[in-house]
Amino acid sequence: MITYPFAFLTSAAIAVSFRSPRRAILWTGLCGLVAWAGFDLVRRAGAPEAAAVFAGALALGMASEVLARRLHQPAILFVIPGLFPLVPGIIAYRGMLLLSESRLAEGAWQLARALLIAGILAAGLAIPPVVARRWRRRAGAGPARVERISQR
Amino acid sequence: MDSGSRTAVLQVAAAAGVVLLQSGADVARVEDTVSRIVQAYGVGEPEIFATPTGIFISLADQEATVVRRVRRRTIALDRISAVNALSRSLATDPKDPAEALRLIRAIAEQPTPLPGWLDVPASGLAAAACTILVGGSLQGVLPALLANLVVQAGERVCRWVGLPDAVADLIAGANAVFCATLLNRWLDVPVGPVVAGGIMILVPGLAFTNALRDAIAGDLVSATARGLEAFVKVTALAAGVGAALYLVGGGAVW
Repeated sequence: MITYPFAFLTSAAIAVSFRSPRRAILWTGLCGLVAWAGFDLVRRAGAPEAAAVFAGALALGMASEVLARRLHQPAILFVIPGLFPLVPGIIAYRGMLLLSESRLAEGAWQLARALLIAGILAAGLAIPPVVARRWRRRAGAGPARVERISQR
Repeated sequence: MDSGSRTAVLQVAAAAGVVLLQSGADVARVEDTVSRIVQAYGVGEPEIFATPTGIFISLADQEATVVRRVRRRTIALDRISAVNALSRSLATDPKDPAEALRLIRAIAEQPTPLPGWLDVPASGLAAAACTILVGGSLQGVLPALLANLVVQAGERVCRWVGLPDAVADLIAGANAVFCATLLNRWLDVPVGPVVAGGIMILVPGLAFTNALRDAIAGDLVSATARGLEAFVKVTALAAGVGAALYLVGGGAVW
């Protein structure tokens, strides 16, 4: 639980560093918190790492879509900084380090794991935009195409 | 529309695409936005091919094409947001192309939303917060903040001097280990989480993830390019860290 504020802080600070518009920054921190909470809760429930990462990515994707609509901003504003708590940077890095120490099997395993997690993150993030678009199409009863896109 | 204004519209669309690519937008978004701008002016259906390193836009049946190279890429979310808003307003009210081009140039040069000097403290803070997420202790946060401020500032200096990105990453990786080792000697803070948090911000986990997102969207060229970018970066960082660990004589992978 103690980790949650730090997930918020990580994403909000990254948003500042990535030049996010001012009024999006706190919301972006919230996205990081949601992503981390999704990951952490599923992990605590005893699920494997892959499932937890997937849950985190799904939660982040949904939060980003909702905020994108509310604040009339592209979802990418929330997705990129929100990803930071989940990103497999450490694992990829550890893998390269192990390789540099000639511990090939362990290094290759860590790199494969990093790739796997990145893939799961990407897959989890690919789902919410599609759902949001479908849902909006049904709810909106077919506004003109330009208008529908413009709300993105 | 005559060929002059067609070209002008393509210039506007290309300028918008270039700003988006330089600001770190994914190619699916770039192609979508550029296509919307061209369609807003009603000059025909465009064919667009965007990659992280350049963009081609063509009005296939009218012999009009523009090509733009993109060399430097950072992440600037405010610009993505501004171009998005502009393309929306063009869709309802297609301004004179010259005026639209001026607006896009202004976006490319707009100042950071918060004061620019906050960049380094913010990255340092993010790295310090990350140390907790990767299993560091609360007592380690302040030292980690200190170390990562140094690392981030060093990285900016390297880029400012004009060193290639890979070299800047190598130095940053080495710098992270040196700072963490110093902290360890003085304050008895475990090295691992401090290095790990700093690396987390520098490391291209994000680039890996974006590469796979492009791959899922079917943009294979872009996915390959981003994947390679991530690979170069992680290699440079690990080389820097590895060399520094060798110098300080610590064997701790973490």
